[in-house]
Amino acid sequence: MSTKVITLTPTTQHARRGTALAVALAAAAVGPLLLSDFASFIGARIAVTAIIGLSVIVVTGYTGQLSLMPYTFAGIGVFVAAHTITGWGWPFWFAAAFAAALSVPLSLLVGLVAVRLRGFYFAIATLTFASAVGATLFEWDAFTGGQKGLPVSRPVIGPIDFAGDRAYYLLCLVTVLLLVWMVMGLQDSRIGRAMTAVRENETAAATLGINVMKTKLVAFMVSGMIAAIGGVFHGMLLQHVTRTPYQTPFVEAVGVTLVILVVVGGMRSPWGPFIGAAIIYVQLEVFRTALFLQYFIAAVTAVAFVVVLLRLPDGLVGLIKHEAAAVRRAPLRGGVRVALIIAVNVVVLYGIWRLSR
Amino acid sequence: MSLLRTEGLDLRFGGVVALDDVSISIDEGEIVGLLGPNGAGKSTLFNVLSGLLAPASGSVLLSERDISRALPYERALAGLGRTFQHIKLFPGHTVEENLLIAQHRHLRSSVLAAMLRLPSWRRDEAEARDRVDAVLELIDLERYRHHRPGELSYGTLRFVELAVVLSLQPRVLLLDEPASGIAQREAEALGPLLREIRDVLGCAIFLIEHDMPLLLSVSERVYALDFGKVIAHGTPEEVTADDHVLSSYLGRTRRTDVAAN
Amino acid sequence: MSASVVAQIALIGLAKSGVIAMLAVGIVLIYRTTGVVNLAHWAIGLVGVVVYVLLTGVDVVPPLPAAAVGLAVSALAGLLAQRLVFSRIHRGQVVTMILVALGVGSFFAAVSQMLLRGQRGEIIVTPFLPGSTVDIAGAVILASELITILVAVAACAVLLPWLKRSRSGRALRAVAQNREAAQLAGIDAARYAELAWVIGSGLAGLALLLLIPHSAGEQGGVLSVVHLVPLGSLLIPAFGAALVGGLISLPAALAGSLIFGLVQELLILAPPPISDQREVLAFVVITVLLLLRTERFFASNAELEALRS
Repeated sequence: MSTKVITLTPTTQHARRGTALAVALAAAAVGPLLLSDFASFIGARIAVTAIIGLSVIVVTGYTGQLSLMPYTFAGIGVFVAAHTITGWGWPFWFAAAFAAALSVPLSLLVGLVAVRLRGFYFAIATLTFASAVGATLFEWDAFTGGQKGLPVSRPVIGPIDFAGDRAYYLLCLVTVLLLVWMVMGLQDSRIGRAMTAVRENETAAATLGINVMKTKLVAFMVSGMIAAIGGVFHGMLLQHVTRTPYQTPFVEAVGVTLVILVVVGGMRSPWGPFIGAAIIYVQLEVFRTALFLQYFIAAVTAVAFVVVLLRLPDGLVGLIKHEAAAVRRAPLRGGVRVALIIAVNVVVLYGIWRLSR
Repeated sequence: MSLLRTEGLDLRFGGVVALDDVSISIDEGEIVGLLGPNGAGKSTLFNVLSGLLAPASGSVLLSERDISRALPYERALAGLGRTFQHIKLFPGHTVEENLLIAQHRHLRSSVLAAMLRLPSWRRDEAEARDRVDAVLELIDLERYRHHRPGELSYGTLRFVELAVVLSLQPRVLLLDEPASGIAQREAEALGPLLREIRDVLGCAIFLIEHDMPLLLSVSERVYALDFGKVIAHGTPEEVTADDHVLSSYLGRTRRTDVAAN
Repeated sequence: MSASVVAQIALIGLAKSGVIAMLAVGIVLIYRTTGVVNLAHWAIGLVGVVVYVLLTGVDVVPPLPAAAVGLAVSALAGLLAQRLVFSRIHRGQVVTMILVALGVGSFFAAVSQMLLRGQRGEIIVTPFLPGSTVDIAGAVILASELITILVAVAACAVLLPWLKRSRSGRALRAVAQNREAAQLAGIDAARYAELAWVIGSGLAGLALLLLIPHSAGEQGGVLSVVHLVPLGSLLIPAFGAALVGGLISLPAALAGSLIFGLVQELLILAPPPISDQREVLAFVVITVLLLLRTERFFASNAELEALRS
């Protein structure tokens, strides 16, 4: 074992990854702003969806429990935002903290039932809980504003007014990055490791001193809080909210779309929802005018989703890491390969877009 | 005073007697062997000790504290570590990460501390990594630090599993056939390694092993189990000279047939 | 409140039970033979309905043959889903399996919407059942509802004895109970897995086809947009009914369907706080069923183990 393989030292690797990330983030921050208000709105929607998707990462990606109720928690955040920010004049961050706190009792209730169930029993239980909350809490007109819904105003912080789409987009981007950073910290901790251990082998985890039930409960609570915070930002994004999408998220298909974009993006990385949301929402917006194409994209996305599940457990994040490694090994060949992949995708997208006009 | 003790453990699966009035005792810092033919109830006894199976009657005591009703994770927190006959590792994690998972017992930082990367989390992580370094050096696995279980040979995985359970820093270590599936040369090295582990960690080791030379050379005392019953107990020399043990091994073919049905 | 009103609501409830039963039987059949918790069940039935809508929309094919074609297309969709996707997943990967089912459901829902050219809102559909009403001892219900009840009863009356007595039926049950042993006995497990999917999916198509004409009487059926999604309105009660039998027992699932359909309708007569919260009650029941782990009562440990690995 004396042969030494020459590799990049961790620090230079980190530095390069850091640079790549910084460039990508700068592009994400500036891109939509340069384009238009509408592009910024889409950017904000991507960021908000990524926040709600992060809640799926914690409970499903890390802990392996398939929860089908993220939009129920988001719904709590949405209506809390409507009451506290617009009605009572609270600052948005306080509203977000309040929504997160309010989600805890529901998380505990669902969690206590659900930690006793495994696999699909858990999934079905969350689905029934989502519908039960939809038929009770969200039917409560004083909370949701009934059929008409409620207005939500965007925040003003000191001299900065976030009412415009561009400013609001930046606020959402900062928030989602902060949450991604926080979830990454969680991943590298005692509790994060307990979560992934529970996902892979509950018995082995237990014999190593991990309380499986408590770990699942914590995952459920953290997940619910993130989704509720995402809901607050979702409310501010839409500026007027009605209850239907949160009442029956799976009948309205938003819940399904969320799960799909998280898996396609990559379920094991906090960046997954961000990448998944970006890809799906950019496509849906490019083809907004052609309904037929939207459904075509939905069908293709569903196929991609199944292929990712069967072949790419780490989703697009895994693919990007793989290609990045190829570029590092052989910069020229890898670079050409990546450029080709991107070019083909752009050409195909552009072609469909032209055909749809 | 014994560190781990059982009193009259009984367990049946349907009509089959799995454990029959099993009372054993292990002292601090002792290496104790458990031998018996296939189906004698050795792994069943381990499962009862670690809380994966509940006995019909009898009790398990750790440092004279009754842990019979404790859950598996509570027993692990109390210092009971075990390996499995069929290796259980976390396949999606590298060797290093597997060892970090097993540090759970020693770490304290909260969810919020981790999310905000507070100093308590930093201290926790630094300590955890130091302990991983120490264990990897002790078991000589440094070169596999960043490998995943799927990339390693079965023999290596046995040592990884050992390293994982050592990361728990157990007071009692239950090893279920640590030498099965590993090369002869490695098996020979296992004896001295187990003694070294005992000396470094100061833990007791309770060992199931079919490799008789290894078991007899490393154990200070041996229990022999057959049909779920302790049939002999004493020094390795005493137990191997015991008539019951000899006949249970001579009559092994017939009995395993029965056990298999 | 007159007895005829109660009878009328009970009959409407029975029709609902019939639809739930056909969905639940398919769910159980597919789960038992392949271990797939089929969240795509609704969407697979939907494809058949859409084909029916397209065929009747162009006025070439008369409604009844079009319905038959729709049913066959649903069965085919199920066959393809099993052969191309589900047969490739290991049974132990439970989360992957559910997610894939969700993906397959989304795919068929998207295809359905694509075939309808993305019309939003409600679509008027030609009926294949009479829109007239029937008077049964003072209880007036739609003829289509009566037919739904009869079809559901007939389907079960044919299917259950067939599963019990015929050679194929027995082979199907053998595969469900012990795949390895069935294979050793020379039964082609893969073929019977596909057969289960064909029957189950065909039943889903039939159930959804029977749902359409209920809604708008004489003019035909209204296909509402809430039906065009992967997880439609009756899928949850169908899973609830199937869970009564632990996703294992067909008779228990049928009893469950009867209860879910009837009780949900009859509770309309209950005083307000209860009648308003019928859906919540259904969820409470389902959650209790989940917590009871009903499958324990209907299958041996060995069979449950086989379903999970």
